[in-house]
Amino acid sequence: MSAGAATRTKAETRFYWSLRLTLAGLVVELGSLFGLQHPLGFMAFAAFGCTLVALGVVLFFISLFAIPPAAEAPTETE
Amino acid sequence: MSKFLSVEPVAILVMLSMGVIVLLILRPTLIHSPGGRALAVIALFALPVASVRAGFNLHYESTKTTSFCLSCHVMEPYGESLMVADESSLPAAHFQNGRIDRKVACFTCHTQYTLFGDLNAKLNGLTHLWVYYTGQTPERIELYSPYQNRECLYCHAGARRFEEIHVADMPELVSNGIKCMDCHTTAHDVAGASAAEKWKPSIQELLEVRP
Repeated sequence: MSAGAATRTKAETRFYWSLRLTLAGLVVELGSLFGLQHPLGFMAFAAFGCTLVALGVVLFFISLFAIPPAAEAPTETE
Repeated sequence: MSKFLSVEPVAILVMLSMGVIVLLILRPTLIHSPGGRALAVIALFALPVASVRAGFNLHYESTKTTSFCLSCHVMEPYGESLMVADESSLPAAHFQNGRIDRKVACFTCHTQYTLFGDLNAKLNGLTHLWVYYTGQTPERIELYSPYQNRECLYCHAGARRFEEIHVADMPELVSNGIKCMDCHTTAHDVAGASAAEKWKPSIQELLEVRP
């Protein structure tokens, strides 16, 4: 746990989660490209890769628009 | 077809997206500047969406390939039937003589040439995956509906040799009054395919080496 994590706002926490989710989705997509000629490659991409990236993007927009920055207070530590 | 199946540009785009995200994870203070926020929008919206779109196109096109269809074991006899040395076998004659693009041979004949034909074929493919991986593959694989002349005529209609031979039957062929398969009866002879005499090159050679 870092000192930075202790003072993160909700928006920042969501932002960092969106980074992780999107990164995980892209890792799955990259892996699925190696299984391009196999149905499981497509399923991994569609079921996990796309879903994770979509969640990441949605969370990013929530972190941008959901809470006005001035109204935020720092959250608990992670 | 092959231009859609180039993996490298998509992989580079995905890695670029990952690189920018890793940068933001390692240097979180970047987002406090206006330029950093713009970078966040690029990293968490523009690049991932572009990557997923490109990846989807790539996967979608790859699901049309003969190699993809034959990657399921239950399709192996159908792959073998493409190589039998029998001119009367419709799939073999089309595949071996290059009358269809070999790389997308299954899809070319088994999609429906309608507005949502490709989409239906892909949705059916998802059903096939479920059936295959849950061990519910039927003993005898059948088409969802009788084969339509429309699929044959998509390529053959307008071809000189075809029209010269079938000129008298064209109205009935177009209306499905008589079926192409009524005369051209040998489709996939899966029961006899493994024992039948084959054309010499392997199917892998045809799909990977020859154009």
